[in-house]
Amino acid sequence: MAFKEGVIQGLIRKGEYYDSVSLMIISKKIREEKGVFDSSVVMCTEENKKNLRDANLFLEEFENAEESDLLVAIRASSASLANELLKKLEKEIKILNKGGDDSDYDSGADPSRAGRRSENCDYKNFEGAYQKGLKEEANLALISVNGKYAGDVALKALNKNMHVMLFSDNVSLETEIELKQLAQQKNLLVMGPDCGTAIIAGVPLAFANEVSRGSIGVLGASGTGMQEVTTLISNFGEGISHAIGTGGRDVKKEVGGISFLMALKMLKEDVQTKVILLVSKPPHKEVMDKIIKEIDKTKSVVAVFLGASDVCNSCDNNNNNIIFRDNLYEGALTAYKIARGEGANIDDEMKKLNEESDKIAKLESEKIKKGAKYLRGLYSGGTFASEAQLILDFNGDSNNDGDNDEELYSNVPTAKSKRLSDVKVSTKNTIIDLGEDEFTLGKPHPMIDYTLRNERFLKEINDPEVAVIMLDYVLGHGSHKDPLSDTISILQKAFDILAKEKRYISILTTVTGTAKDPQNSEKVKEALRREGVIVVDSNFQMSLIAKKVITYGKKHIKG
Amino acid sequence: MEKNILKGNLKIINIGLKSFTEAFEGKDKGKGSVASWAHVDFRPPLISDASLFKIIDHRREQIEAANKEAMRRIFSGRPFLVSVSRAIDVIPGMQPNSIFHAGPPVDWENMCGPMKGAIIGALLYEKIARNAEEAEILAAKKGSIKFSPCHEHKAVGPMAGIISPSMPVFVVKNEEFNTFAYATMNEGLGKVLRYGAYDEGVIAKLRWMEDILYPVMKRTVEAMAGKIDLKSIISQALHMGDEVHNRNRAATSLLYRQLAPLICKVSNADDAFAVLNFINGNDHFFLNLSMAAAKSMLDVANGIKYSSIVTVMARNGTEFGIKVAGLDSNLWFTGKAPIPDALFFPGYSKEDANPDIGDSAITETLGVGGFAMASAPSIVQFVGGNVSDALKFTLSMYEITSSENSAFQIPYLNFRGAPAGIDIIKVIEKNILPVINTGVAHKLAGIGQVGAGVLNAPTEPFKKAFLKFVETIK
Repeated sequence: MAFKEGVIQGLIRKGEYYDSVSLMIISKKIREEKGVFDSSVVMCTEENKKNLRDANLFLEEFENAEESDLLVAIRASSASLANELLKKLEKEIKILNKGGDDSDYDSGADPSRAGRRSENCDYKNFEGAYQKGLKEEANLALISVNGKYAGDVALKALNKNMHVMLFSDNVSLETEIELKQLAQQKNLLVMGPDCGTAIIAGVPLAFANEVSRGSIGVLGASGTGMQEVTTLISNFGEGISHAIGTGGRDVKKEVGGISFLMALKMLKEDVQTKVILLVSKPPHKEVMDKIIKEIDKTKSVVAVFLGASDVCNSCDNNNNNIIFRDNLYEGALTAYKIARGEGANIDDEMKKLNEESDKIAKLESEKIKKGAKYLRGLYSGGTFASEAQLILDFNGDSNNDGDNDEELYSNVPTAKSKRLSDVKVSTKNTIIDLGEDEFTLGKPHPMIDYTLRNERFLKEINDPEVAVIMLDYVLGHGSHKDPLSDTISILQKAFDILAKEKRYISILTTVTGTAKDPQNSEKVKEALRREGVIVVDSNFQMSLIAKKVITYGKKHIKG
Repeated sequence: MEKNILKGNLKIINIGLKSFTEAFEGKDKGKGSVASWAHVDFRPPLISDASLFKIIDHRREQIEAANKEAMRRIFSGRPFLVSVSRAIDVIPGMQPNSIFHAGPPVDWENMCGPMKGAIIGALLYEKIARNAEEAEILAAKKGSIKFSPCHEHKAVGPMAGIISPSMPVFVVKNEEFNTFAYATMNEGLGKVLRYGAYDEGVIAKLRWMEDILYPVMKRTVEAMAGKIDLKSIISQALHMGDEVHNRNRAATSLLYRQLAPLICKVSNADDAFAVLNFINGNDHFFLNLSMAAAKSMLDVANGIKYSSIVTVMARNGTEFGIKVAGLDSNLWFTGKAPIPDALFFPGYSKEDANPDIGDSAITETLGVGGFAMASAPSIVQFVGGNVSDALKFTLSMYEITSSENSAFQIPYLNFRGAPAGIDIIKVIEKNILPVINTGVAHKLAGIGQVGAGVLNAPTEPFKKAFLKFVETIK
């Protein structure tokens, strides 16, 4: 078993701190070396120590390391190889240690400017950036430090009367409430913690896409969901005024939707915003009521509260100012049509989409061989994994022909699905959110690094019971810079395996992004199509096709 | 300031992941979407217990006043080379069986190879032992040799930093405060005592230094009647490409110019030739003087209550120790000495390197050496090869220092004063450790120097000192 294989070697670098992304990039480089089973470069937090133990990468000497220490571990086929790579790794770390490039300080050709620092460059601390960098005019802090320190940094920013976007997760609920209450007093907005996506006045913050500017304001407690609707709207031909994130916990009872409500007011008052699109998991009832109360006839509001159709039907919406939609695609389309002045009715478009999906599904289902009957969704976007389960709407209790083929499992189960007993092993129909902690601890998020998903993908490919695999490719800032480099060869490998075994699996993909994104969504889609996979524009359509392929597949095999 | 960010004109401080700023590029132009930004290279504090910082905040005014006073004393220092004498005649607390060493206290068992080698050499030189074996037995015997840190006797020594009773030492006087500091004369490069070598050639050179160099230097320096202004030489040398720790070529040349005429006057032609040739052949001749000057300037800041300024950083090859102005000056705060990640001479690697050693980090404590790296473009290969690397080293030290020394200016920074006065509070808060330029000794006694480079001070001594400091000011 690969998990136990090899020799573990490691080292401690005292008192060295690096951001986790830099470390992950380094450890990825090492993992790609021949003869390496696993490697990890992490700060010595208790959490990371546990992960190292779980990953069989723990060394006794790590026990007494301090939190400010950097732990490096490699499990390789031989001690000499591991040691050689450790040296290589130290070199990489040293490069990091030198910090940024020459833009850190203006030390360029003009000596009279040497040592003078200006905006758009690096500072060692917040004060310097605030005073020297932005001449005390900074109005937004984008914070992505370790959650343990994020609260303090956010507090500093609020005390300087700056709005805050907290990308960091692992910030305590207490801290979140404290920060948001202070912000509320000062009439400042706190986006997050765990806010992955925002676009303010056309500026993408963290994981966000290059979308057209326009009249639709998005407000959401869901990162991927916001990326999906903003890119869909942009690709439809409309634009985004702002996309404001709040972090998932904001709409829960404890926080009471402080940021959600404030952002809603801001969008209502914003002259550029004509239509407001809300994207979130279902808010707590009390929060929902407050949201509904805040909405009046001044601006059209479309809401996608994933998995909350019951809540929405029961909530007090007697003035009918909100149009509820069940999924991100319908939500985006509705907002687009309203912004265009074409009304909120999307029946024709959805009918067309359904027919088109039907066609694709039929063709795909005909290629599937007997015994292949399950679908597997391998998601990097958490919201997608939830949305897919809702769209699939498989009901394990009602089976048509005696077996429980329609059972749906997930590591992030929604109402009708069951929890996977082992997240590493798929059961029947399985939807996986690979961005969950159990996969990402000490490893890069699957939106940045596909290694983890590629491994899982090949595992699913080798499973003769699999009929459909769903993959999301989330592009934009922050995401994998060159998604094709880590995708094409793995797809080719998959098709080789299938050809050899005379099987077929319908591989469905959705690309979230625009042609203006650094990765260029058109280029990515085209390359994926060339490899023979189905490429659609939304997770909604991908899930729809997946469901149909499974259904038609059974008929086809029986027939 | 535009408070409504939805109106555009975003001014963003990005703290954490640098890659997020990539999305801001080009957003500073075009209609409506204006974003300028500054990135903060975030490092968590070395100690994150907020209650400790509250205590600091409570005393902030007193601390600032104390540090101001510490820096006033340090900056007003006027170190002059006034004499050369035998160690036992001038250094306080030196006894016939004393051997002083670099860094914090360490007993024989815990001494590193080069320090043991240098002690063996000193015992041979003093004729206390007849051979190396005898020297080792003697050194190991409790109480027979009194080991003590140079720093506890107003003295400093590079690398092993060994001072034994008969050794001639420079006498440096801080005229402003009437205080003294002492250092041996630099032996040059190659196989030398300070790197732990003790063969016959090493001892022979020490004897030559005692027999020829010492009397000539003593007569010369005394004939100059205290006119050798070390602060002035350091200031000039910083304008000439030295940082007076790993590069002393300019300072040595300046000193040579001052000494040469009088050396010729006070000694016979053969001795004058030999002495001038010796100084001319040793670029580091001034190092021991820059160290003694630094020591004399820093010592006067000890004992200022509430001052968080570091007055000593020193290593003994086993441990790295510091002292703080506002804390009991008998207290050392120590941690394991790091192994330098340096440029190694051909044939040697990090495997051969001894942990960091020497009192020479007193130069960084004063705000030169690694802190003035931007002044020494010719040795930037130690810090990555580019002048901008050297600049970054110096600039980052302003983050953890209390002040700037207008007497020690850095030309490339528009003659900005070098960063001076390491503040332990800033070190802890910002998690930036002092940079130290250093030579690397082979870990085995008797081999000598194997490389040179730059390293960061370890965190442990600063953490310990910080905790003690907080306890003291409560």
